[in-house]
Amino acid sequence: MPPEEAHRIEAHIDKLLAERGMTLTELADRVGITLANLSILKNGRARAVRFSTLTALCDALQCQPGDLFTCHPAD
Amino acid sequence: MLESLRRPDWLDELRRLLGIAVVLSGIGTAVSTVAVLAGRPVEVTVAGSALALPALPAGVSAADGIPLRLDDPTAAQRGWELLSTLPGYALLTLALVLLWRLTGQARRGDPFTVDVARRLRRLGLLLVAAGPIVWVTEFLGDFALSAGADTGGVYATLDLTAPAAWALAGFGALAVGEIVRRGQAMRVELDGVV
Repeated sequence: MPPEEAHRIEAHIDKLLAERGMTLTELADRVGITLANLSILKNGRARAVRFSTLTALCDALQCQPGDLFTCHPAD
Repeated sequence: MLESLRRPDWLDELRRLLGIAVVLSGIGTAVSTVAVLAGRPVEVTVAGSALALPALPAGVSAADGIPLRLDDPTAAQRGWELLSTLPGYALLTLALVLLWRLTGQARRGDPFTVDVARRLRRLGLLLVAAGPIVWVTEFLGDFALSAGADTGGVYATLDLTAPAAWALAGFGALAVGEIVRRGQAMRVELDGVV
């Protein structure tokens, strides 16, 4: 397991939702996860993402994993 | 038919078993202590070589330790008897109580918690640390009891089985505690997985 430290991944769910005119609730329904878990992912509080969740997100938002996340460089 | 049988909750079954063991151990300890204090005859082992035994057949000799019974033990002998038996019973009862409470807590809620891991660690350390102390204390009690029998021969053995059993139980509790701790850490990790 990697050491416990804050990650530098930013999720762009808000931006993708806005571009597609979709709400967070609709996305949660399409992906099949709870709104609470989707909020955790959106707000950067998730510690890991399952490939199955990522696949469902990409399907629902018609995008690639790289469109969803950005890794910011360390200071 | 198998479907109709109740699927056992092994944690609950263990807790019940531990509950019975706690009661029996507690009663056994209390009854034994009261009996010794009240003057119950005390069994003591002395060196066989020091006893003048009646004519034994050829090729037969007294063993190293000969059990005798003190029908009217003195206060000191009663004290030594308690010292040679009570610490083991007390530690066993205490360990059973701790384990009983621990299984109760694990059964009521989530077994993979920091508190359950901490309690298991505490139990393990208690057994590992107190086991040898109990062992030596009981040996001293046996030695003093044997010496106090005034037969001219003292007999007491340092049986390695007892500390080995305490250590095994203690390290077992420590290992299970570590499993619970890692399970709890994994739970924290999984809680953050979306």
